[in-house]
Amino acid sequence: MWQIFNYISVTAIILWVLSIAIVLIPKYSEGYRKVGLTTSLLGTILLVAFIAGLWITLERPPMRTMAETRLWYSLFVSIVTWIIYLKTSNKAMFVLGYIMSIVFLIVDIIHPEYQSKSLMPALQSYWFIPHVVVYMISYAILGAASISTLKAFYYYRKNNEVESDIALSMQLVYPGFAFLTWGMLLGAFWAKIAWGNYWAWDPKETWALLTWFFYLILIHIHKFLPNKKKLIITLLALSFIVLIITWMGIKYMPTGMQSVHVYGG
Amino acid sequence: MNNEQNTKGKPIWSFPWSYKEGFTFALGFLVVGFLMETVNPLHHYIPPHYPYNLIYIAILVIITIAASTLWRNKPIVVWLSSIKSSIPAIILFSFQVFLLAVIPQKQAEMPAGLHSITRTWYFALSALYLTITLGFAIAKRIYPFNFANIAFTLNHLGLWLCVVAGLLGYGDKLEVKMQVNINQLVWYGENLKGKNVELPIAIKLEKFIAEYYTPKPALMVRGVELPILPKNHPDISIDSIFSIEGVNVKVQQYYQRAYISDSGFIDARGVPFTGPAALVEVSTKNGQSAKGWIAPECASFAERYLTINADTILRLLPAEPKYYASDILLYTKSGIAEQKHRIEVNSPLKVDGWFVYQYGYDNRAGADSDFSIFLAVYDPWLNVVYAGMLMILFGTILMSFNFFKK
Repeated sequence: MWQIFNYISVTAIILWVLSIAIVLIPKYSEGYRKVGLTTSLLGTILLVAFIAGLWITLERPPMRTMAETRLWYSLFVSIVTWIIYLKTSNKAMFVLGYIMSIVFLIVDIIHPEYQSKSLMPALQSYWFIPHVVVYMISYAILGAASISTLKAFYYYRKNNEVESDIALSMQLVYPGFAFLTWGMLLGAFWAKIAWGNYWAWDPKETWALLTWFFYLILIHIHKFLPNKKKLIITLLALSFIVLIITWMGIKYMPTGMQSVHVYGG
Repeated sequence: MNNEQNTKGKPIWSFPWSYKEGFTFALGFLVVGFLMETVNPLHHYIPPHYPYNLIYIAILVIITIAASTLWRNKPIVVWLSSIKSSIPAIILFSFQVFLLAVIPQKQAEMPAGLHSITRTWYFALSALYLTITLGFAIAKRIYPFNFANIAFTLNHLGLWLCVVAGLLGYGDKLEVKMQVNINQLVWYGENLKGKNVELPIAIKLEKFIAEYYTPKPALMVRGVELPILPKNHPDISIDSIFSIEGVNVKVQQYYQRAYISDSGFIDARGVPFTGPAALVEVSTKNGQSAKGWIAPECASFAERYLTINADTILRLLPAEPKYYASDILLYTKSGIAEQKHRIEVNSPLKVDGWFVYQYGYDNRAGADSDFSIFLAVYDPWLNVVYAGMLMILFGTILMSFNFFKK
């Protein structure tokens, strides 16, 4: 299945670039909006078909390697971005969201990390799929929130109004945080069944908890000190950096080698 | 918000207290915790266990409820149940999590217990500060019952239960490893300190079962750390021709179980302590070729690989386990005698509050292992922690409902 990945991903990337171009046509019209939405959706459908095909040919859920999780991330970011554009018509979010999806596909083109069909016994669990999918949805939503943060950061530097960008970021942080919580709880229930303890301070768990606490602090500060805009923007950015370390950086950490979560491949 | 303005410019420690006092407390707990840890480390004391942990929890609950009902207007209670004490408490606890995330734990000993942070005074004091502020916040919001308060209570009380039961319940947890040979009855296990302890359950191992994936062929190239696998996932027990990075491989013979002989390997179906082997012929683009047996190490022979050129060899990687399980007979002090069970990875046996897991076996012997290792865990506080987790689960669902309504 990975042999045809390049064709599929390049087609999806072309469709998404095309949709970005359509959305950016200066003269706004409902027609362009619809064409843009349809084009980008085609790219997403293509990716769904590829993941489905990969799942069938590998005879296991494609969630074990970094390359496989990047596919899901790309998929969920494109879906979240699509929904945000459908609801808000925010062009900047649309462009940045699809760029993020495209970047993750490009990384996969460069590092496909072909993996075998084998899945170790501990991963053969009905908790596995919800745990990973819920986390990837959370990461996608929080990724979208940090895109809006980038915009807020830029305007803040130029002393422009950032109220609406922070509001959009935070609007995404709440559901993103809910998914983050569910991902962690699903992981805990699974760990009790597979490894004997719901919590083991495994480096990945600890980093996931740290990410959770960063967003927890952000939510409390935003609720009680909404005027501290600089602090909120900084926390939004920092939280996402911690999230990225949790997802991809564990093996580079001094604590990383103890983790049962380091991805295969 | 008004409170925030009221407290601006006021001298520290005069009421109403604000964030300043909150962060001073947090820093105080941290400094005092570090000093206490240096002078008299927490791990010199055994963790609180039943009934003491229950008594501590009761004291915490009674003080919180009494203070927040009887003295609810006292400035210190108002402060403790406000965000001004909770944000510093969350940040202090997050700082502990940060230390845990960057300092390798349970490795070389470090000053002030930094190698085992969860068993230190500063960690304990941070958790205490967090549970106190959480407790007061809950007491303030638990009543009247309305949508927002219920969501708030589920989230906060859920977290309170997880932290309190998870940390104070630790002392009541028992964790032992039981190594059971085939046909042997074992009613004891080795705890984390390496001591044998008697258990209320006994296990007799009837049969150990292990299945493996077909081993994977891989190229090892000088200077490349990881083995290079073929792209199209060939199964060498079925696919006789495939290629890896331009090296064409033809499988002439494959034995799931082989035994080494003078001329190579012979089929050893059904013979214990044997392993897989394949006879392969390889050819490269620049005309190099080689033929020979490849086999991963097993109980009866060392690894065999095929040299293609000075920089490249072809290996058969050790087969990865697909499934392993133990058929056992269970006996308990509570009256179960000779009950048949199968314990699998991801499917532990639950009996009398104990969870018994398939933990390990003799890796070199693989499916022929004549023993099985079980991990038995007893955690009487598990259901309290689970209750907390479920509350958080429902709390966050309500939170997002509330959010989507907006």
